[in-house]
Parts: sequence; C-alpha cells; structure tokens
Amino acid sequence: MSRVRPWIATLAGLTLLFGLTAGPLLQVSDTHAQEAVELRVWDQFTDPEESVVADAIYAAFTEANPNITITREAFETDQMRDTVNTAISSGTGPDVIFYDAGPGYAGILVEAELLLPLTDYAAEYGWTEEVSPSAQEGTTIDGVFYGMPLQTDLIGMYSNETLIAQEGLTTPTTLDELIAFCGAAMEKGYFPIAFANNPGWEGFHQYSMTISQMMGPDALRAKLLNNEGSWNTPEGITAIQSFFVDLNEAGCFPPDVNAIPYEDGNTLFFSGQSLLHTTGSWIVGDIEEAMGDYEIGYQPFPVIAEGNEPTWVSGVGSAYYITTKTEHADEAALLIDHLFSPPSVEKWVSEARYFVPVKVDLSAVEIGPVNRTVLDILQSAEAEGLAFGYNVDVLAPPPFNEMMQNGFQAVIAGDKTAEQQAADLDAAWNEGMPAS
Amino acid sequence: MSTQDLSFPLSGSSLSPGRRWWNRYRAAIFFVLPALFLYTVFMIYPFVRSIYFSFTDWNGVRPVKNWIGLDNWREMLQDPFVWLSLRHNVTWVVIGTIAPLAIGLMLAILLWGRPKGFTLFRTMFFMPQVLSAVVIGIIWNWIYNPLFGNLNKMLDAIGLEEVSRGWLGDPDVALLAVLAAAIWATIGFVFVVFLAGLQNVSRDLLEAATIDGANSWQRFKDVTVPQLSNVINVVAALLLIGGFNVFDIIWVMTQGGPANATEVIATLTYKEAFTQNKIGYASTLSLVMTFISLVASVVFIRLRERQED
Repeated sequence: MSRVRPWIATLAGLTLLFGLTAGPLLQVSDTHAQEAVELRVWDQFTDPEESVVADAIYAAFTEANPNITITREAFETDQMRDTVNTAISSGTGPDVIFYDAGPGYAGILVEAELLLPLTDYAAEYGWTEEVSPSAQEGTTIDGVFYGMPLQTDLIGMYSNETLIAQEGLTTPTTLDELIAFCGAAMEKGYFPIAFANNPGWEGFHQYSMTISQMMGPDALRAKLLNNEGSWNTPEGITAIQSFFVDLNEAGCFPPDVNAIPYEDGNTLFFSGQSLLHTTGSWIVGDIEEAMGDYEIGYQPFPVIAEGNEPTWVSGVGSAYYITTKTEHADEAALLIDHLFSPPSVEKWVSEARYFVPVKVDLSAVEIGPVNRTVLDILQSAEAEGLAFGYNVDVLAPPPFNEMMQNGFQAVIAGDKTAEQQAADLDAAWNEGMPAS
Repeated sequence: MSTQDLSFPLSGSSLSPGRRWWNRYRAAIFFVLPALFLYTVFMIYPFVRSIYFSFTDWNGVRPVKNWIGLDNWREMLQDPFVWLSLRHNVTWVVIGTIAPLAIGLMLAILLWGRPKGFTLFRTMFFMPQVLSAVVIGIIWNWIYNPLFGNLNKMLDAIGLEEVSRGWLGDPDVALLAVLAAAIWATIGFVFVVFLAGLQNVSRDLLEAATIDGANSWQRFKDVTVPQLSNVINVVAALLLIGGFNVFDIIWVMTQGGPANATEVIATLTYKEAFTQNKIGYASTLSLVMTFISLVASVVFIRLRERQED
C-alpha cells in the first residue's frame, strides 16, 4: 500500500479548505461585480391601493436582483398621455412604461420606433404561451408583439339583484324587456340605468357593447383590425339608436345624462338609487367595497335584435412596454417577466383587483364574488370558445374616438340622428386610418 | 523730445462711435441679458418653432417632420370646428369682457366710499380670484350638477322647475354656464383694480359736477369713467386676451363638450396636439390664436386712445 506524501496531503487539504471558504466569497464578489442598473419605470398606479401593490411587486423584484434599482414615477392617465411622447423621444423618458394600448397611444410610439418589439423576449420567457390570444391582439401592431397586457377589462351590465327582487322585477335579457324594466323602475322611484356621460367617454363603452352585439365579434374584429366593412350599416345605426335614442327616450337614464360625471353615475348605483349600471370591470373593487349588503349580478348587455347573441365586451387597458431608448433592455425584460410571474399576478388580482390575462391558476386566491365572476369569464373564455366583442376605443384611431365622444352626446341631446352619427363615425374612421 | 499721451481713452471724441455706444450701454445690456436669455429660450424660440411646425405634418414623436407647405393653413380654413370654436371665443370675449367690467366697476363704486363692512365685502368679492381655475371648475360643477346641484334646487324651490336643467349637459346653455363661472371668478380681480383706480378719481370734480346739476348717471359717465379710462383700458385688454386664450376652466368643466358646445380655440388646439397627435396642425391653430389676441388688443387700445384724444 503506497503512502501519500505529506506535502501532497497538505496541499490537497489547503485546496479543499480554500475551495470551501473562498468559493462563496468569490461568488459574492462576482455579484458585487455585476453592473449596478437603474430602471426608470413609469406607470399609472396613482390609486393608493394599486400603488402599494405596485411598490410591493417592484420591491420583490429588486430584492431578487440586488444590482437593479427601480425609480418609479406614477402618472394620471391624461398626464402620462401629455408627457410620454416628448419624454421618450427626447431620451428623458422611462426604460419601462405601463401605457395605454391602441393606435392612438402605444401605436404612435411604435410608429416613431420608440417602443421595443418584445418578440425575442416573449420567446425567451414564454410570454406568448401565457398571455391570452385576445389580449395579445391588443398589443400587437403590424404583426409584432410590443407590450405585455396587464389589464384586461370586461364590459357588461351590473344589476342590483337584491333590489330588483325586492321590487318584484326581473333582470332584463332583451332590449324590449329593458325598456319595460325602465318604466317599472322609474315608477318605483329609481334611475333605471346609472349611465353618466360627462365628459363623454363613457359613451364609448355603451357603443362597444351594442356594436359588438349587432355586428358580431368576428365582423367587428375584421373592421377594427383589418379595416373590412363599414360603421354606417343598418346594424351600426341600430347599435346607436338602441342605446342612445331608444333607452334615452324610455327614461332609462338619469335626467340630463350629458351633464352627469361618470363618478356620480357610479354613486347612483352604489347607493341603490339605480338598479342597473352598464360599465366595465374596473369598478368591481368599488362595488364590492360599497355594496357588500347587496347581491350583484354581471351579464352582457340585453339582446337588441332577435337572433343576436349576448356578447361580452373585452379590451386591453394598458400594458407594459420597453422603450427603445433604454440601455437596459435585458433587465427591463427581466422585470416584466417578474411582473407576470404567478406570485405577482396573484397580487395584481387579489389586491389591486386587476384582471391579468395570463394563464395562472387563481382558484385559491381570495377575492369577492363579483371579482370572481369577472375572472372566471375572462379565464374560461378560451377553453369554452367564448368570443368577446371589442372595446372599440382601444383599437380605434383618435378621430373616431373624438367623433364617438362628441357625436353620442349630440345624439342624446337630440341634435343628431343615429343615421348621421353612423355616417360621421365612418368618415372619422376613414380620416384616422391612414395615420393609424 | 516728443511727449507721449499716456491718458486712458475712456471718454472723449477720440473714441469710435461703436466704442462710445458700448461704453454707454454695456451696463444696461448686462442687466437685460438674463431676462433676454430667458425670453429668447422660453418665448421667441418656441414661437419660431411653432411657425416652423405649422408647415409640417409632425405628430409629436416621429423624428421626421415632413414639410407640407400651407396644407395645415388650408385645412384650418375648411375645418368647421375651427369656425365653431372661434364663434364660441367671440361670445366668450364679448360677454366675458363686458360683464366683469360692468359688475366689477359697479361693485367698486358701491364700496368706493368705504361703507360699513368695507373690508368684509372687499374680501368676499376678491375671494374667487385666489382660487385656481380647477377649484372653481369643480365648485361650479357641483352647483350645476343635475342630481344634487344647488342651482336647480334653488330654482325648484322658487317655482322655476321648468328652468332647471343639466346646465353643462345642454348644448344650448353649456357655454353660458361655463362663462358664468368664469365671470364669477374674474370679477374679484376687476373689482380690486377698479377700487384702486377710483382712489385717483377727483372728488372735487364730482362735487363740481353735482353743483352744476349733473345727476348720478351723468357724474358716473362724464366724470368718473373718463378718469378711469387708463384702468379700463388695461383691464379690458387683459380680459380680451384672456378670452381668446381661455382653456383651463372649460377643460375642467366640460372638456369642450357636450357635442363641442363649449369648444374654443385653446381646447381644440390641445385636443389636436395631444389627443389627435397633430402637432403641426395644432401649431397652426395656436398661431392663429396668438394673432387674434394681438390684433384684438391693439385695436381695442387704439380705439380707446382715439376716444381719449
């Protein structure tokens, strides 16, 4: 049996000792050697509750990536729209931005090559497999995927089932039933629908519901994404007539609806002065907070014409984008991946009440019943082959949105017919399309 | 042996005209330079850039600004919303200048003799002036609110239910409703300026006119107003310019709606620039707005000067 020379044993022992002690030290020094990166993030979480959630999610990211710091700036939506174009183009803007999808907003930045295509990162991190196809459409421009949609909304009709049952009424499922419902509800002293249209953007969502149903999701998709068809059709006119003329004349809305701010309309519903509210899922949190004593239903807008299908409307609100001016695109992508990781999504959904269109099992997340209804509809749509209608303003060019805002107010005021508005919408669409 | 002139050429006829000019004005130039620099950077340069943008189709972000000649100017002339907005501006300027002038002057004259409660009234009348346009807009939105607004409640209480309406939602009255809020906010400023101006009105002349048999209206028209003409000029010019540039209170209260019923050139310009992303076209509108304000002010001041002569 050969003996090991003492100097070899000593050397081996020293090597082992060095390996055990210096290894971790080297690792630490390697971490320190990583470049310190500051990511500037602009978002729209000005609501205190949402802001706290965003802070916590960003903090979890910086904790896991100690070399990265996040400088966050929160903007009101309008404020961001006013500043973002010049800020990014001048190089003083953010690395990552949570901004409105659609041709008038992110589309303008893409046209100016200020947003980075996320195609490669999406493949690397598997985002495209996780995000629902309809949400991807909202942030895909000219076939290129640019933004990770965080906020998907559902638009339909809330109903105060407790009060409706108490008054011996039934939640309407057709337009005729709705008109009859309005008469009965008015007699009992209610404002039937809590619609409020000052300064006018709430009309976008009402039109999105009626036009989605009248045209059908496929034809509407073809119009919005491929510019096939027209807004000035019998279906288009009925979509305007049914809501902005027929329901108005039936007394379904509070008086002087063009003068009532959206928030006051919400208050009418929250306080039980209105029985129905045709709006989006962004007020689910407020409903659950303010209307805990009531049972609240949420369904698609009643069927306008025989043969129509009840149609939910869905649309991407805002998404996370990376700007082309960033010097830290990889770190920005890492952040976005973190924002859509299962723990982050759980936080967005349960605490900020966002409906994140990614495949994450949220069955164990504790949320209220209305919130759960919306989430289930959004998550089960793909599996059940449910086709959503479209939130038109998100995908329409700016002149079209301007015409919706002013035109629907004019129709309500009786200064314009549904036929004129349909023709004007078509003209505004054609005016805005070349730039979009 | 020749003598050498060692005197320092600070003054005297031996200096060149340029040098003399420099010596005379250099201190003034150094004093003016900081302000001139700021004025150039924040006024002249943007103004010149706006002129340039008005000949382009720039959307605010695209690096390329295509030169399109007079297209924006042609589009403006054919844009029905421009003419509608201009009409609203003219309404605003006429009512929004005459009403505060008349009411402010009347209030100032009422308090001229420092009656009992002078300080209280002066503070009350001036109070709206210290509020921002946003606050004023919110307050008046509440007053006009068709669901819980005090105006409709008051009208209902005195039997004028048929007059009650959604003031900001009715295209026929929305502009006047916003204008009423703006007039309420402006009166305080006009009142204080007139009150200060009235301190320089000669009471001897008023007494003389009274002895000569002039009644109150004649004393006001022929003695007080002429002595206030400079103050009236300044206030009216400011109101005129403000009327053509009005934006904030309209934006807060109606954003130009309902159905463009309160659209003015400034709100239209803002929408074209930041909603429609048409910076080139919006620059054209802003230049027109500047030009109209300038012309209106100059014409008004010249007319007043001619009247004085």
